Amino acid sequence: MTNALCLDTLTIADAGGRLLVDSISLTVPTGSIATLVGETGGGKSLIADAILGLLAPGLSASGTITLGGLAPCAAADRSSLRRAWRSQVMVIPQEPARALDPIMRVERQMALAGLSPAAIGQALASVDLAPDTGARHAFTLSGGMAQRVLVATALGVGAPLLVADEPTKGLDDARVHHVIAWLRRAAASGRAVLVITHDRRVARALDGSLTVLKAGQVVEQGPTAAVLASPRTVYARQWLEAAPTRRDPRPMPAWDASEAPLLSASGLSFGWSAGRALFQNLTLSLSRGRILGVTGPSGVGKSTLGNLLLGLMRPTAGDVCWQGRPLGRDQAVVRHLRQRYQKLHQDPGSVFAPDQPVGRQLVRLARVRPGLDPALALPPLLDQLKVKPDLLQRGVTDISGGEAQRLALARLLLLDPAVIIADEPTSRLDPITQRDLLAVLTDLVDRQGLSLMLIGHDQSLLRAITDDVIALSASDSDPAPESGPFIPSI
Amino acid sequence: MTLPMFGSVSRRAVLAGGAAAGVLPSLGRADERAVLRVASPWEWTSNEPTDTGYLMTRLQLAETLVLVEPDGRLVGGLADAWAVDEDRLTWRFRLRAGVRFHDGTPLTAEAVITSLTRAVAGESLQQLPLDQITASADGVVIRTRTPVGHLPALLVDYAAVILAPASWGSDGKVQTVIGTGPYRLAGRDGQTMLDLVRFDGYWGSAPSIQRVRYTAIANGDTRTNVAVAGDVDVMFTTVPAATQRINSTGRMRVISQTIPRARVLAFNAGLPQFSDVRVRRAIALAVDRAGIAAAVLRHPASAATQLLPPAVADWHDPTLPPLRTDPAAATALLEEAGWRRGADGIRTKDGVRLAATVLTIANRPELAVMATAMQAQLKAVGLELAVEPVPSAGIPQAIQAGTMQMTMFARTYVNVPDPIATIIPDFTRQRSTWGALNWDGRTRMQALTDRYTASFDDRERADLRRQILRLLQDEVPVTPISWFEHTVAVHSRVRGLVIDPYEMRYMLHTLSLV
Amino acid sequence: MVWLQLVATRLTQAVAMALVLATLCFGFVQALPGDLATRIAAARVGEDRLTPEIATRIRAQAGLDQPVLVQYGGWLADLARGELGRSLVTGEPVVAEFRYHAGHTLVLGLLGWALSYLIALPIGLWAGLRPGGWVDRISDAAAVLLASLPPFLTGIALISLFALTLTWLPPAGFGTWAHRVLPALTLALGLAAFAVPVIRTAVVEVRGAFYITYAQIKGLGETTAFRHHGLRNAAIPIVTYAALQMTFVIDGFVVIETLFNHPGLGAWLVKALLARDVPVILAASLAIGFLFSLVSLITDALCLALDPRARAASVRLGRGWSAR
Repeated sequence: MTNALCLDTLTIADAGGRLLVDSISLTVPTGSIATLVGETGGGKSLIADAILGLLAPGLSASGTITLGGLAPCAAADRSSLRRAWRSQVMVIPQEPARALDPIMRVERQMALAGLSPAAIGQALASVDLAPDTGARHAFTLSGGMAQRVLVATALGVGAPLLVADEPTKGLDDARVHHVIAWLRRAAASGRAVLVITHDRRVARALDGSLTVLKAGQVVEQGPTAAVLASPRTVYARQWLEAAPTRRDPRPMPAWDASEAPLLSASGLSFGWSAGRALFQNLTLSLSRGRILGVTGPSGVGKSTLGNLLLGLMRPTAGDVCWQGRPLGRDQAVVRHLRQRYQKLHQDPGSVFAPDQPVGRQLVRLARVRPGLDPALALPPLLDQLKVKPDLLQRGVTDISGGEAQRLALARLLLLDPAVIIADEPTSRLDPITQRDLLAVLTDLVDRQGLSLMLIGHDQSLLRAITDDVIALSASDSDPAPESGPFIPSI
Repeated sequence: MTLPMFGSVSRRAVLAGGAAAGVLPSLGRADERAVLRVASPWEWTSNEPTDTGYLMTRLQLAETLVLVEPDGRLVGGLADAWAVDEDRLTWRFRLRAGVRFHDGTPLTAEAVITSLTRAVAGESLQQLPLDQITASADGVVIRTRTPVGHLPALLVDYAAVILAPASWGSDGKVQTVIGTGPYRLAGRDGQTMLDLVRFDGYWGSAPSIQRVRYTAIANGDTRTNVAVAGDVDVMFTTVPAATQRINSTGRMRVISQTIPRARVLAFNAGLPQFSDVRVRRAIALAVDRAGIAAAVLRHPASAATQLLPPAVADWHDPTLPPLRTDPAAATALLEEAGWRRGADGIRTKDGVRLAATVLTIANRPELAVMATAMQAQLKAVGLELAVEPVPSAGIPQAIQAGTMQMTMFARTYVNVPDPIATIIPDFTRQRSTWGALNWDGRTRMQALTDRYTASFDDRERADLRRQILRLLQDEVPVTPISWFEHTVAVHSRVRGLVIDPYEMRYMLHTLSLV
Repeated sequence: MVWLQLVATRLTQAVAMALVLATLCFGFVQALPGDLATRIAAARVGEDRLTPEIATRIRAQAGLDQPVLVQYGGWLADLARGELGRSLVTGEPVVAEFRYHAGHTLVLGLLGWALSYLIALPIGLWAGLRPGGWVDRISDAAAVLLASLPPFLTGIALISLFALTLTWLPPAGFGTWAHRVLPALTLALGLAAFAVPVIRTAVVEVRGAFYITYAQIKGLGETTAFRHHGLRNAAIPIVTYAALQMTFVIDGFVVIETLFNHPGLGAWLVKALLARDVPVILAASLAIGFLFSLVSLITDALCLALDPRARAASVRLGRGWSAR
């Protein structure tokens, strides 16, 4: 059995000499799956970048990377590594939408990868994409569909090594199952697959070998089943146990049930064009101190629903009410309550400007909310959210995902919100960080009577912490796969 | 002809591809060097002689019954002889035989009558107490209601050009200019480019140059560039400051001639500040004309000594004591008139400050500079001057509104060759646009001009001219500051340039190319 | 469907915009200080012959002594019959004058605009493909310099070099292609100074896009990847900017036409404004309003043709092209 990939003491350091990846050795034999897991920002993706010769110029690398039958190559030799593209290695990138040219039709992009029309059709079908997907422009695809196009392309190209960087990020459970199946199929067809993930369920389902990283170092390595069965280190154990715990049922009348729900919608419908409704006749309500979950497959309109409820978009039919007052007819409502209905974004990087310290941007909120003294309000808030105050001096790009998301939350809380609509707030975070952030959110609901709408893919997670879950069903734009067996939580 | 010039012509011709756009006839490469290139700031505003007639006469497209030679002599134009009857009201003009319009039709009395009747709208001819114009056997008869001794001079007015009957459209407006001049209009591109071709049926001697291209270049900097590049043969009205630059090219030379156009300072003599002639005389004495001419105009000789320059021999009196600069005398006059200096050095009398705003015409930028120079000179004798440039229409508007205090403008006194035609409207009316306002000497002036108009005796007329000039010099309804230098840049390949101080003709017919 | 809707919307807008603009101009001209008839008279007969009598005659002839609303109504009624009237200064039909000047402006404008992209495209592409390289650095400095220079000075510099020193080209005038080179170049340099950074940025951004890298991972060479994915994506902002620049061209014309003694709409309009030639001012404002909408239409059409996202958005919104 030959090795499709062999990493020998791969080390990556930043310009300041800080080690980001520390002497990692790893082999991926042909026909096998190797999974890399570890905390967010723990250097997993850097390893993928290094293999592809895509490390940022500011980073230095040492050690060797051997691809298939090629001679061992110094990890710093980016141009040699790039010559192995397509012939030795193919990638399923982390941000599928960004890997596709938005204004080119899908089939043309696949054809440019060297696939024949017949192969394109076959590849699309193999990832459950409708035949007409090929004729669509990439910008019309949802994230999940783009993901599948890239999987189809990667499978079609047939390089001996397939590197998949977070291939299940942002996917609903059914789709996660499918991705796993495709990756396993690729391995079974004789390819080596290197998967980078933070999802323990994916790691378990893929089987093969498992490497657990922490702070750029290998903490455990071995056959997946063995590592999962008996983790030897505290970190690995913690990582495996980081499932959110079931929320205790709380007594309803903690707040006056007679008051109008903070947020309600009735008969809500929306479609981008007539005849193609994302959802129709939706009714929901959210009272003080409650958590409402919204789930559904990718592209079903979860984020759109959030935007409708926040008054950022207009529904095609139906009403959204804030504190019982309809948005569309009563402009004053929007003006008075605007600040108290807030959104927590999936990507905290989109909330803060990248080139300024986060602290300065928080202080500036005083302009938005008169009477707010950030200097007074911020320290207890940071304490409550467990954010170290010295982070305020840094720009958002220098802060880890979990901490950035807490700072984004701190930003919302400075505005004294009544309702927070959190749009997949933890999908980019590793399980440990994810669990901590959700604990902070539920704590806010329990103690301060906030109302939370939590949008997410992860049904188990939603079931665990919400009071009620709305499941949106798939639309014709993105046919739902047949429901596969639910991947169980560990 | 210098070598670089040959080089530039051939290269340009290659780039030009030999094609000319628009309605102009295309000029082949071989022809191009034979074309005389003429430029000036003046655009072809419209086809109406009352508006654009000056270009028709200057470019010698159209002619009047009487012409003026550069030396001021009136000579026969389309009329080769004229005489006035004993009644001094009936003028008989004999039309020149064999004259043809550019369309080949002969000059007729009817054509003359049509043109002259329409020309009455022109300012100079409006003064004519016209009774009627009739045809005679050999020409036209012009009858006036009162005697006008300078009638032939009035007929030189550009508004009185004679056009062929076919020039007019059914709406009574001139459609195409069909004149009798040595050149005919062969094409026009917009308002800025005209092509002239020698008219072979011309009654006089044929000009040497067959084709002329006239370009109007309103922008002074652009005119300078064109002159420096040698891209013109004769350019009228160059920017004075560019003279040295143009001369330094070697292929163009600027020549200048003093013409009967004066920059003058005019007063509203109805104001308490200026009603006393001693104040006006004091101002005339306080202004340093020579200094201003040297510093602002860079031409010391253009400092005015009286209203009109020696170029108009009849209307320049060398015996007249010249305008002079004497601030001490000015101060004495003001003291004598009762104007006393206040704490700030400005004089007052009966609670009136000796102060005024002078309106200058903005499109003659040198006027504001000259006025600013006068500011300091007048302040020294106790008069406060504020300077405000306005568009040329601003001055009649200020007069209309009653806000005019002082104005400074450039005035030509030869709208027709006899300045009397300009002096009458400027100095005999209570409200004249380009002259004295509320001047108490206007009745005395009118007495003189009435006698001049009615006089047919050369000696009497000469004496009256002297009296008119003396009155203007003594009473100072306006004070002349400088005369105009007409500057013309001429290419070294051009011979025979004559400058007409009356600005009636560009004298293209005397030019030749080497 | 999309196209028809676009054209219909834009045409309605064009008419409305032109009318509003012309009405505003009518108001402005009336509100300007000074007597209209005297200004018109000064432009017609020159200051030597300017008298209140001539102004009075013109006032009566042109109907300027009538109430303002009557004049405006008269103009609207004429317009409804497709009649734009005659210039009060030249007496020529406004339509004929417009056709003459617009023809010159169009040729010069298109020439300058095309020339600017002939200059800006290769430089911007090169600078964007090799950011930080010598072409990038030099073009950046030159663009800053040229962008800060008024067209007047650029024109004088070009005249000094090509007309006065080298004597390759005439310094002013019109009628031959040689006469068009310097004004078009002056216009082009001013436009290119703004276009180069736009092109460079578009290219740099597209080159940094991950789909270009991914295309290379798929097996395309660097040049092939850029040709297939880079050019069209980069073209969208460039084309939008280029089309919009057509409208900015107008203001450069006033200076360039004056400096080069070239006929055209800019000089025509300025002259008409100074002379208070009301029919010309109104016609020119109509034309400019229409022109802006036309350019807007071209921009949208190009965007629709190039960018499927724009097509999708227009279908989705159904209305509100202005929301772009």
